[in-house]
Amino acid sequence: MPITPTHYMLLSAALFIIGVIGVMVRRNIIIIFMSI
Amino acid sequence: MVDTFVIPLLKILVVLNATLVGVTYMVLLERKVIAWAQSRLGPMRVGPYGVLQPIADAIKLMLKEDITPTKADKWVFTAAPIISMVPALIVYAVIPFGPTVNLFGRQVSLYITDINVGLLYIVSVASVGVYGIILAGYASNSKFPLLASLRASAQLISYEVAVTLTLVSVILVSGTLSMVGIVNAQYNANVWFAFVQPVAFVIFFIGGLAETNRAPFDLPEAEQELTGGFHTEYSGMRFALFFLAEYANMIVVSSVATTLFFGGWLRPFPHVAALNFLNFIPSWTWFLVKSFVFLYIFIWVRATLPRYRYDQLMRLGWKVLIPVAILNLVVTGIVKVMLL
Amino acid sequence: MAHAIAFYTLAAFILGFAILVVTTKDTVHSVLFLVLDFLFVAALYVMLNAPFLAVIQVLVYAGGIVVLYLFVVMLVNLKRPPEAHSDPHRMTKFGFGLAGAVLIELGAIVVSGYMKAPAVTSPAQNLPVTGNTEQVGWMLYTSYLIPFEIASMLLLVAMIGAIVLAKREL
Repeated sequence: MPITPTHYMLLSAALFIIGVIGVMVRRNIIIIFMSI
Repeated sequence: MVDTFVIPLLKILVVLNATLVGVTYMVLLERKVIAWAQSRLGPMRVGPYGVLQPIADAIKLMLKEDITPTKADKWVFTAAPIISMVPALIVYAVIPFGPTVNLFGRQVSLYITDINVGLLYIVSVASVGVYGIILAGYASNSKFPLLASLRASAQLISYEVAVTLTLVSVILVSGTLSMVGIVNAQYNANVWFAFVQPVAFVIFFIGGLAETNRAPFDLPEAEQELTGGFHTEYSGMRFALFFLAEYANMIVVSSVATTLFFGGWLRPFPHVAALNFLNFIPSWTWFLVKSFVFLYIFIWVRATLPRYRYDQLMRLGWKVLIPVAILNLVVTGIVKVMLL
Repeated sequence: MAHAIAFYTLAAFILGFAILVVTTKDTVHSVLFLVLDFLFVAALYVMLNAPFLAVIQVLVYAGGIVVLYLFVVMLVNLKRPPEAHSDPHRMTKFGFGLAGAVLIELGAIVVSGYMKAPAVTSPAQNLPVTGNTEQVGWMLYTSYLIPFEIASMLLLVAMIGAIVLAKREL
């Protein structure tokens, strides 16, 4: 199926979630929060 | 089908092989040239005039015992030389050795690819190459390499700024970021950019010396200063990879200097018809000759100049080169706008 | 079709490395996985026909910011904060629950947006030149001029602030 912009949004949403989880783990991971 | 896969693959093979052979023989060239500068002969025993010396070196390094310090970070320790070597090699993908020529009845372009942002690609790959040094020092898990690697990487990222600024002024003059486009711009303007932008060229060369950790900026790897610098703990093939990566970087800087400032694969005075008898020399020969001249200058500088101390080095980079590069950029911009 | 395969592979790598970044115990390894992540995102940009953005991503993010981060990590001996299962203040389950709720909410928004007809807005009709670099430059200097200037002022202030802070320690 063609890659719509929605796919990219899902990808960035997933990355954001991972960053949020990361923030709760340790403080050095603020950088991942900026991961797109 | 053939055109999209086979030809680039062949080109990659040719370029990689040429690079690796060239890099190993750079070692010999360096030893010979420095020897001649010091009134001695250099390696003479292995093969006629020492020509087989690099092969002997390669065999020796491959057969050496591969030591890994016990407490070192194994993955990073193994990856660091690779991270150093890979950027030095993949930069060749955008360097143009010549225009599109007719080889065996096919139009073959003498560069692996020509992406629109070729010059930026080179700079970004160079900035990834810094990782190899940082990780090598860190993974060795001992004080000297760590300190040396941090100093080396600080030196590299400082001079990266100056070099990038000079590249921007070249982009201003040529109007395009693609390497082939820059050579074509020099063809159209009928003048090599070294004469249009002499300041940029000088800064680029000095920055290139510093970027490749070459004398007189080779404090990170000077044996007398920090017991071998960031590759103290590496032996055998890993050390060879670092060394080869450094020489490959040197060749890259020479090639880029040739392409940007000295006309790449153009012969001198391409528009003057009186010199048309020179056309029998293929374009890539001109490129190789010019790059070779730069390599020779690299080695020459190493044989001649004493080493910079670290704070003098940083002072030179930040207080001298960057302001001059910015000034050059501003002046170029003003002149370009006035001439439009 | 090949486009889809490439996208899914890249996406899998990106997400995988991101999870590794968050979960690795060793700080330096975590930073390295972040670098790899940035490189893969740059590859994604190339797939989106934005080579300039990809190169800039590598140059600035992977080549500059993470290098500085690596310096900080190596020079500063960070104390290991207490692990999740040993710290009663951590509220790990609550954290995961919150993250899950955000994910579900985002998913709902995306799906509902997908159901309706996508409102296609095509900005910048008059692009006189082709090539990603020129497009980005054009947009920066015409439509987004004010944010561009403000961003450069911000960078200048940050640089001066850094110099002031560093000088005081001398």
